[in-house]
Amino acid sequence: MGNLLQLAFAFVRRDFHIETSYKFNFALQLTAGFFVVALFYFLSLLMDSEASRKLIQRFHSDYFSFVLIGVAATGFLQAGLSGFVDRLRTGMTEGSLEMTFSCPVRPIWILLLPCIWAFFFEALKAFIVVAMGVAVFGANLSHANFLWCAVVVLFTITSYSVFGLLSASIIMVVKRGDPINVAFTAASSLIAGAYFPVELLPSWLGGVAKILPMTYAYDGLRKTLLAGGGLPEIGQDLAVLAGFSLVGLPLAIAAAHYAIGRAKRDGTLGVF
Amino acid sequence: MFAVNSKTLLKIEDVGKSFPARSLIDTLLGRPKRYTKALGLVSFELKAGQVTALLGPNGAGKTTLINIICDLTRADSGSVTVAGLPVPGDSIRAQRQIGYVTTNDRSFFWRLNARRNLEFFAALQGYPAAEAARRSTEMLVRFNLAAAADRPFHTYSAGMKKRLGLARAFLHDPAILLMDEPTNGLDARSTEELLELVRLEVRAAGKTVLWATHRADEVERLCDRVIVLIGGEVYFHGSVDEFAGISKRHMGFVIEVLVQPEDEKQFPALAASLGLEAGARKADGGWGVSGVGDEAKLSAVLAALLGGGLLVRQVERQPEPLHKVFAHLEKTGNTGPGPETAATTSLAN
Repeated sequence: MGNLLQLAFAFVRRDFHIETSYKFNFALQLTAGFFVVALFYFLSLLMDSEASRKLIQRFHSDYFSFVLIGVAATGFLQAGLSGFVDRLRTGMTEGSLEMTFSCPVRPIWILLLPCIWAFFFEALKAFIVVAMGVAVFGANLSHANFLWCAVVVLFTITSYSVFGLLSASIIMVVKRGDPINVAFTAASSLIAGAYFPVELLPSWLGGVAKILPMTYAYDGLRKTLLAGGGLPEIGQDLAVLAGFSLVGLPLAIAAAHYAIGRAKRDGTLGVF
Repeated sequence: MFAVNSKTLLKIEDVGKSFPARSLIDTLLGRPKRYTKALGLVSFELKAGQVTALLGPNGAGKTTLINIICDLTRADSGSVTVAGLPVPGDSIRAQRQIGYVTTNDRSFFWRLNARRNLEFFAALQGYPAAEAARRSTEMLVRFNLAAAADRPFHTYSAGMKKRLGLARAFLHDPAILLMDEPTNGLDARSTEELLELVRLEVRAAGKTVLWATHRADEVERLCDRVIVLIGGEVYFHGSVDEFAGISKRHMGFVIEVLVQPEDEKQFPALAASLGLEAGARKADGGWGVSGVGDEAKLSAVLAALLGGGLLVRQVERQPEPLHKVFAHLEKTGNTGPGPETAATTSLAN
């Protein structure tokens, strides 16, 4: 375990130094969320009505606060998820991937550990987005339960690692084209409730929303940050996310092992 | 050249590898998979302390073989053991025994400085942060990079990049070094410096080295054993002296003879019968012919020319380019014309 932590730290340190070596881009990424927050703030003025308030009343919140969490979480989860593929492809194109695989490290860690920084950095950006929403545009997080929010984030990251590993496995073999990421982006935006409550969806699509882990991630985050929910309120969301991880992670790890083995057999580990 | 003990550090046994070469159209049309052979059934052993050249032209299978040893590519057949550890069966422990120098400069993180690059790879070798930092500093000093340790990798010259590659390979004090064309892309001076550095470091540490190259001059400078790999097959495995013997037998010669106008028509046929390649006839009657062979062959050719009434103007000896030696080995499957030395092992076919 100690060795794994050391290894994780080494990956985070490497990625932090690479990220901050692009100073302008680093600053831009941290501040660019302002424009998205402003956009949704003005849209929320248009959307704010009795009907919309009724739809999100279970969060004891207004639409802007509701959508602010959706915007921040979508950015965090999408970028965290694409982090798996981005890091892998960067390693392939830079040429560093083969050298990393030649070192005495379990291949699965080479796929998983670079994503720690991706999730951490995206969490920081999401925090800044939420903070701007509160400080500049008056979003209401006065009841936020940050401790349970952190628990939801952890469970979400674990369940999203399933998608991340599956994406990375596909990229390992086909090199380009990531259907999982594309599907995730569409599902988050349209079905899982990133920008509007799932109650608005037609019943059959609402059924689809119920089997997506992202629906429970958004729900859990809003319940803790907007309504100050604790374990009783988010227990079901956590259970679904945990169940998804328990079933999905072994499958995703098996897929990753297969993909790495296939790339080694084809001699295409570092090919892009 | 280097101290050798009898312990086998690397054992390659009947390793074969072919790569699938099927296009999307082949797949859609259901055509059977086609394969490109990269390695035939390659077998050899490296003893501890030996520096062995893996010599062969481009496309010979050198990189494929090294990738198989590092578990970056899986062999179709045969077995690989590194310090007694099977690859891929026990790859993680086997990889701890290997220091790998890739031909690819792009194996580092270009935005990081040299120190951070080394610290990252030291962490991958299992060292805690403090130890990783200490070892990285030690390697930067050892490979003359201390002054540039905090410069980003992308600002390094080709020679510095190669030295950093060596520093990374030595970081964890591995038992065996696999070096894949480490002088590739270097100018003559940088090549010379790098070879000297490797020679000193390898000698000082008593390392076992597999040095993949297509340059015979590096073999003579650095190695005590040679494996010639051509088209995925081992054509020669022996000492550097034995290999030098082959090169010697492949010395070329150029003879200029004076050919009278009345002999002009018959001369090409005579040259061909002696195994010579004839150039163009000069206006003054001089005619250059070239051939390959040792002193005995040259003497026989000269005797035949003089016996035919021709006057010899000039004789020049010149080493045969290595690719021609390779071509001959490939064609004959043995160590070349002339008597074969008893100790020379031809493993081909």
